[in-house]
Amino acid sequence: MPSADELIFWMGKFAAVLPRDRGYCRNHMWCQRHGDYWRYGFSSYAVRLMQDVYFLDWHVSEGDLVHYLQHIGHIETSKATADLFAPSAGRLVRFNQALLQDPSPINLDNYGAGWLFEMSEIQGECWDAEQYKAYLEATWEETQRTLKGDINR
Amino acid sequence: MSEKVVLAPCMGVGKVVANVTRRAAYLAHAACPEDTEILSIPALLAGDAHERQLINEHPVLVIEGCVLRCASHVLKLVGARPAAKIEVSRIIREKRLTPGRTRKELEASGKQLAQAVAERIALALVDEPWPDTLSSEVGWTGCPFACSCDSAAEKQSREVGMEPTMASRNQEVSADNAEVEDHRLAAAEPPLAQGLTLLPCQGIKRSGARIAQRTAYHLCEDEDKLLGKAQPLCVSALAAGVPEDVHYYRDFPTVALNGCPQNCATKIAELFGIPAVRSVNLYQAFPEYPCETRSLEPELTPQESELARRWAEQLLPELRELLVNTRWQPRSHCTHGMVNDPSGIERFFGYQPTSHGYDLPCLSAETRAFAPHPVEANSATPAQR
Repeated sequence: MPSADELIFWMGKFAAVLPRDRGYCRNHMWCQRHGDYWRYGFSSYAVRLMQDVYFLDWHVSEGDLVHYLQHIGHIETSKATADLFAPSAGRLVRFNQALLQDPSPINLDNYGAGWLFEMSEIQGECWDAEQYKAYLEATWEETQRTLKGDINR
Repeated sequence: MSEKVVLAPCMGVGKVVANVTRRAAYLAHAACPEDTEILSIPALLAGDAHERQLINEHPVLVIEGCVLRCASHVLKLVGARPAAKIEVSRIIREKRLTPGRTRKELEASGKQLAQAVAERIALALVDEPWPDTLSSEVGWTGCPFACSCDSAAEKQSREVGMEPTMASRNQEVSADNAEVEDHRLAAAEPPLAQGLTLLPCQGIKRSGARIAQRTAYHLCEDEDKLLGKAQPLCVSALAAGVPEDVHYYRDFPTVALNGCPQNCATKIAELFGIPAVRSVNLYQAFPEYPCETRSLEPELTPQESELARRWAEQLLPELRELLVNTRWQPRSHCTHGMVNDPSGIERFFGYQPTSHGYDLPCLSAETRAFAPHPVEANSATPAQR
């Protein structure tokens, strides 16, 4: 049962937890104020689709200004190899260096130790948990068709 | 101190990388047949005396396919402590090799990765980092674990001298389970099952077990069979309390596929509290086949592959009939106190990385209380505790 602090989006039999204490971006990253910066990571929905993360590489450097949807990195998982794009325009302040050595926190603690990077001077807005969940619900059927019955693995 | 090291791959059927650990165990054993033995987790859970003796008398090298660390969870569940651990995810990053995308038959990258893991195993064997400690003996009558579901298990835990710190095994059935139970009691008639969970025995040493696993893959993955309507259940993940596998076990009726007369799949389904609705047995379908033959080739033999294909074809009508006629309500199951906690199991065993790419456990105060009593050197049989 979800607590009052979170929503649940059901991906088949998998419960993707969406904490209410942060915002969400269209590219399935969460964002949360962290001191002077905004911290980003993958939502449980994204982690579930990706499954085990093997490699994470960044193609930009700390301190770089990036524009919205700029190609910033690359991830390889047990399900897919995918490019990563900036969820907002702004300055990339810091990457989670620990993930470059061991990306397993993305799978084990995506809302905590599995954070990806921090940004400042961001432009643009993100959704709250309810809005993000509504987006997932609207696109879920198409996502399932794309996955062709492999959703449970 | 035994000369043999027991290789314990996580060996699940769910993930591709678990099949990498299987293959790596085969390769390592083939390279060092006198120095190694392979542990079959399903047989261990089903109460096989030989597998129990292996972990009781030899140091165990755990090979974890992914960060869920199911093999370590299983060892904790049965009261054993690993002597060392290899994490395939670390080798993936070091070698930039991935397991590939197919679990029925590994792709070239998965085979390369398995070879790299086997080489890491060989390195650990050469290093001989094994502490002079052994695993505990666990009683296997009835429920083998000390938990609230079966008082007989508590008696066994006292007999083997388990410390009160094993209270984690006596956790109450989770609130989640209780909610499912209430729902079940309230339902007038269960709805038709939305799918099936196939539980192959998925052993690693007997030919019939290898065939059962491949058969489950055929049934779940082939387009002309039960694709989208059935999923294979991983024994290691179920025992380790991985939520997704627990969901499959609880939310769908289980069909046990037994590769040999040990009937491990049927026993395991019963062990965790939700018996299979049907058990199908290779040795009955193909009585002339020597299903208990030891088979340790990295690839299935042509005969094994052919039998898996034939058995899947043979089972299909029966399983389709089950799909349309079985009513099912999610059931509560017995966790035996196990909660999947990958970070916690790491801390529990105190794994410390070495410079050679494997981890060694380090006894904390809590783990010392959990630590088994070593067998007396001159004992002809495992010590009575």
